[in-house]
Amino acid sequence: MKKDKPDPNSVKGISRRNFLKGFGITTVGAAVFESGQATKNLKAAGLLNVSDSIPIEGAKMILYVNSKEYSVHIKPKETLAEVLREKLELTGTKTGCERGSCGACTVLIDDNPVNSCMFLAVDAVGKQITTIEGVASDENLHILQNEFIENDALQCGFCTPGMIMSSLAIIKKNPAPDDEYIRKNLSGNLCRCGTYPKVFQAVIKAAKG
Amino acid sequence: MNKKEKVSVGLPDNLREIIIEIPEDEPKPWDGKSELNYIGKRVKRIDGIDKTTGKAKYTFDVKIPGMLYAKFLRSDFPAGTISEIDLSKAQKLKGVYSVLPAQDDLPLIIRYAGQEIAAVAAETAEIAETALQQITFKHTTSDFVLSVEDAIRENAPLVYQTTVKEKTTEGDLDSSESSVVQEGNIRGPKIFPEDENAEKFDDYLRNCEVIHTAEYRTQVQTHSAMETHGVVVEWGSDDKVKVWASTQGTFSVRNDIADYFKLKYNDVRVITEFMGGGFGAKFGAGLYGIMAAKLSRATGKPVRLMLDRKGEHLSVGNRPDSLQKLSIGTTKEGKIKALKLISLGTGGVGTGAGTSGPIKNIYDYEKIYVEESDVFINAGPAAAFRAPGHPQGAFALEQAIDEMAHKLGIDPLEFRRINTTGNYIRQTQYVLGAEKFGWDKRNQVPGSIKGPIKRGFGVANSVWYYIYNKGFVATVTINRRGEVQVINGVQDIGGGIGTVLAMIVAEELGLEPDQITVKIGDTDNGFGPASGGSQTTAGITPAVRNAAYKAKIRMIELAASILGKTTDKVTMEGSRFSDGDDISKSLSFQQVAAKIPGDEIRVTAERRSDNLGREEIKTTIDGVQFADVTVDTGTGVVKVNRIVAVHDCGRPMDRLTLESQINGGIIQGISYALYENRILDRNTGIMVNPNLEMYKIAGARDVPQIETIIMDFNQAMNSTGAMGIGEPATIPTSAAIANAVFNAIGVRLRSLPITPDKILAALEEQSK
Amino acid sequence: MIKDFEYYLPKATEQALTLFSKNSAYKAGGIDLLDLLKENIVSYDSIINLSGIDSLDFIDTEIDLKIGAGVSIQKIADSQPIQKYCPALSESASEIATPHIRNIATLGGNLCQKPRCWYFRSKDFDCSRKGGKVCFAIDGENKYHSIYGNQDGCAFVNPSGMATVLTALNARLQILTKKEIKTINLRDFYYLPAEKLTCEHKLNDGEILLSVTVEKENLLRKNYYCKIKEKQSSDWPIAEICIIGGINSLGNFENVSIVLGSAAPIPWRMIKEEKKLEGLQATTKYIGNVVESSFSDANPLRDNAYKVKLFRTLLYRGLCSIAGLESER
Ligand SMILES: Cc1cc2nc3c(=O)[nH]c(=O)nc-3n(C[C@H](O)[C@H](O)[C@H](O)COP(=O)(O)OP(=O)(O)OC[C@H]3O[C@@H](n4cnc5c(N)ncnc54)[C@H](O)[C@@H]3O)c2cc1C
Ligand code: FES
Ligand code: FES
Repeated sequence: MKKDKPDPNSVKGISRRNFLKGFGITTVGAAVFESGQATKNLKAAGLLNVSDSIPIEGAKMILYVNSKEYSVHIKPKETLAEVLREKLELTGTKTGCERGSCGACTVLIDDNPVNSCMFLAVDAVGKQITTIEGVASDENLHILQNEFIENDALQCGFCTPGMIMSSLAIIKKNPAPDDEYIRKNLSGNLCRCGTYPKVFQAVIKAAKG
Repeated sequence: MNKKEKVSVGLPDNLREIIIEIPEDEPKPWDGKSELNYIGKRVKRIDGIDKTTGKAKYTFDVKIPGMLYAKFLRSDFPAGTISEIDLSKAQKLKGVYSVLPAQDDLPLIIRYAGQEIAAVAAETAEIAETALQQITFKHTTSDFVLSVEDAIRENAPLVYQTTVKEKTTEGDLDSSESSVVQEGNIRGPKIFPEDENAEKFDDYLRNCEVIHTAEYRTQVQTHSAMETHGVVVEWGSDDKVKVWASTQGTFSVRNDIADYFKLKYNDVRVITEFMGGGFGAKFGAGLYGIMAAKLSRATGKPVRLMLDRKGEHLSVGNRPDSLQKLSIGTTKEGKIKALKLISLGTGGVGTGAGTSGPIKNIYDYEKIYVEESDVFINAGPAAAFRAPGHPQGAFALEQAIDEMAHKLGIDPLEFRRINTTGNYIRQTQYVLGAEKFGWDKRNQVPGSIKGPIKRGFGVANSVWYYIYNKGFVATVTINRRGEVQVINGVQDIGGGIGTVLAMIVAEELGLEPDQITVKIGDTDNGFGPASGGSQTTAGITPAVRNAAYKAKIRMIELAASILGKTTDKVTMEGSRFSDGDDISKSLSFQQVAAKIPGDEIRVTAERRSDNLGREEIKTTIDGVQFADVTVDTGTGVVKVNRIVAVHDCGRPMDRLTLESQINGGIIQGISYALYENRILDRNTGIMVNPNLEMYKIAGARDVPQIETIIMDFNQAMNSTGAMGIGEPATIPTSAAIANAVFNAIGVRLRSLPITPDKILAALEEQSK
Repeated sequence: MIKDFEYYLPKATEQALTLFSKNSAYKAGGIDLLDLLKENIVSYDSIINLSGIDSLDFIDTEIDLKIGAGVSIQKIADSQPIQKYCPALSESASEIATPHIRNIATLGGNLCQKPRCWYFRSKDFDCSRKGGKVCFAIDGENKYHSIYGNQDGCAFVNPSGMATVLTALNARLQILTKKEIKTINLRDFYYLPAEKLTCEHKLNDGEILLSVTVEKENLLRKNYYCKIKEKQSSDWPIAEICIIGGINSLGNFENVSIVLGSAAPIPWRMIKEEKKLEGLQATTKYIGNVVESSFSDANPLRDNAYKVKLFRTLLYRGLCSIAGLESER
């Protein structure tokens, strides 16, 4: 540790020591557990309080994605998009700009749409993350997915996961969104193929149920 | 052997019968009287579920065990020479597998900022990036030019010391160019008609009763597909190469790689299961493909090389800009006599800046003269971009037409009408479009509306061409369980060709589209068209229908033998086969299939040349668009309220995906008209907006109400009658908007993009 | 590529303060920070995430309007008291960036974000604001740059949509230092390039912006806010204006404050015009006169003279709106 840094152990509430205890057992890659199991495993390893301080090398943490728990090694600098795609192999989430301008990487965090390319994975610990892979339930498509297909709200499909995530947030918040509301709330999603008019139709129809 | 068939051609309410001659083994083409279950209807995409659930795997998503991540080092100066490159430090980094120069031998001449210098393959993207920073090189810089005006000055620094050959891709229109000269930075002019004498023509023009001349400018637009260019290459130890490519031409990638590395075509396999947009820029392997292959060969590991957004803007294509001087000469009554275009444009270090398509192909004229030249500058190379040259050309021509109409005191639509009298498709389009749009409600005196917020209407024509290639081979299989497959190498770039193939086979066999398995996007599946020039559908659908037809004949033969009849006695109703003499005796598709000898019926058929023995086929694809805009004269902000688009595309296949194509073309056109612009810093030659934040692309709030009228134009020139729509819809949009802006404010904006600063300047100029 | 850093998630501002060391940065939403880190414009040994600190996330309207620095832009846009007491602030918030960014970005981060100038934001340009020798914008591509305060070696525009409105509302900032909680007027918060070239504001390293206060007397006054964008979906303003003021019983302007955004390296107050308006009868003619004589001191660069015309329109429309008159321009 550098001299000119305060010793975090001396700071109330920061459990660096706690964190270091379990540090040796971190592994690369992700494991998926049935709900609750990962928490137990990590608790057993003394790893659950890591989120208040994480070293450069990162640590094993739990992400709640699509109602599943993933135990995954995360470095502080890694974005959520990176971790989802590279470590959890949830490649439905795309990136198109890496700078918050295109919305291809949209996921929901506690029901709010965010750019996963501009969101640190460590900040997602403890939150409910929903990706495109979690929109359909088991075998059934979500009504929004059905409406996207029915209305042809997709062409090449590369922006579609992000578009659907933003649309999902719209209909969760507003049961009867009007055109203006939809446009405003989709204004963070670019589609180079120009599917917008059909996306609006799909959202309106999905909201109606 | 050919057979004769009677078919109905023309527009639905005006069909006429003609006799055509077609090959014996092809079905009678679908014509104006065909009643079909799926073709021409709205059919959902077959890959909708994959795309809406995140299951669809793009090249961007491909991950194979041991895969390395590759990145490019790019120049941050626009012109110079690299004499030495030191890769050793980068090579020594832990996790780095290979570092290769972009060009085998030095010196490497740098012609634009962003040009590739070297590539690294490493265990992770991060290590690759670190390694790039370890590469050092010795270089000198030299003077550069960044605009057409600068590049054509005397003594301007030369971008090339040598003569440049035009490189065309499947996305370009054929350019027969034997005698194009290159002098300084100018390559050209290409003159049309080749034997026309400029002075004589000018005399002719001068003698026209009314003349309009003006200069029009368009900007550089980058393709900006949401998925960047890139590949994953797996060079096997047996020298067989497998490539996942984000491409609109699987076979063009295969050919480039096989040619470059002197491999057998059969040893290179290119797969494009899903791809995230191309718009003309994704043909061939590109340097990224070649480098990824080299790195994979060198390391014995699969290598992924996807460009980042910056690299995408800088190095893999754009729509050239243009500076067009256009003249029209007419009679007092408004008949066009002479058209003249002098066009300069730059595709950076590339070519393809011609803009003359519209001026040559939309209006009737007595005489025409065109000079068009490519001008080289120190900027990234152009590539084919959705209707190469045509949005630029239409922006100039269709505004000039409008200006002329205004000068003559003729309604702009009427002026267009009287100068396209020979084209009955256009004549119909004008009527349909004007009525739907409410053209008669337009502001009769441009700029006359009171108040700061002004609304205006505009119209513009487009032209594209019926282009197709031959030799595509489609396979249809039916197995003993009655499962049907259609197989071809063609890739789906978002147009939905896979769905159309399923529809065609379903139509022919009396099945439903979702009963058909579609295998596309793989060079092992048989030769398919590249998606360029709006020729995918026209290229592959006849082959698929022909194959399905052959399979059907085989099924009928089989049914006949089961029924103990001759084939001419077997009738097919839906997917059931019946005894023509006794309808009660019938067999289901499955029942017949179960009797297939061996495992399956497998037939292939080819896309041949269009039908023989008939009058000439109409080869232009015509369209007209109407725009309704609002201009805030206090702020200069333009809002597009509504676009009505009337397009011909031959026989529509899937009306649902067709509409999407038209929407897409229009929205890209709006984006081009109002927002997009590649901006190079004038002092350093570096692009200042290589992102999606300051390179501005139309979003949800910028999209108007769009209404489309699709004409069902039947020519029965091939078994499906399909032409194309991908390109046409984007051609007239910017011109229609510019004309509407004029109608609103009474001032001409002759330069794209039409941004608030330009509107404000134009209004100020006018008020002086 | 982001350089590695350590990460801290303190629960209280005091902890954050102690954790801050020489090469640390605070992170709120991280939208600006990540942008800069990804572009390699900055790098830090440690990042201290403030978003775990609940005490920064509040909107209080009991006496004055007090907003915690950690409140998200979307919350500001959606807050009913803010919509009621200072609509300009919620309007501005609702037009910032994209819905996705607004969910994450915070008031504090918005006020403290670095310039958005494309030369500053690119590693390819060693510009004066990054410690280099030249401002590339002054002779370069300056369509989106400043028309005021651009003669001292840097021509960026203040990027903060929140700052434009809050400056007009004469907001105060509460700042936690190692010693105390100090208050700075937002109007004094930003540096012009002439004052400091590589630093935009007065928040010293390690200090924490706690909250922003708008005093009662500045609430419930007439508000005008307008952001002009080239593109309507998610775009930076090319011009932005906020006018807060009133009309007295005689029909005269009273206590008007006018601030321009995207005009200068700081939220640009039109002090001369404010003075001219004081006590002036609110008619379109007088407003026209004030507008005509304004902007003579602007210094447009080659490509941004259009902004003057644009601001004239906004000023005229804004004053008419405050006066309840129909704008003719
Ligand atoms: C595509 C795009 C478009 C945009 N468009 C607009 C726009 O139109 N208008 C606009 O105004 N903005 C716009 N923004 C900018 C965006 O609003 C800001 O980046 C965002 O508000 C920053 O907030 P944050 O909480 O994420 O800040 P962070 O990135 O977390 O922080 C930014 C800076 O503030 C400091 N900081 C933050 N909070 C505190 C605190 N409490 N105490 C001390 N220091 C603190 C941090 O140390 C850091 O230096 C846009 C951004 C993007 C990416
Ligand atoms: S990739 Fe995240 S917004 Fe574009
Ligand atoms: S469908 Fe292709 S980018 Fe949206």
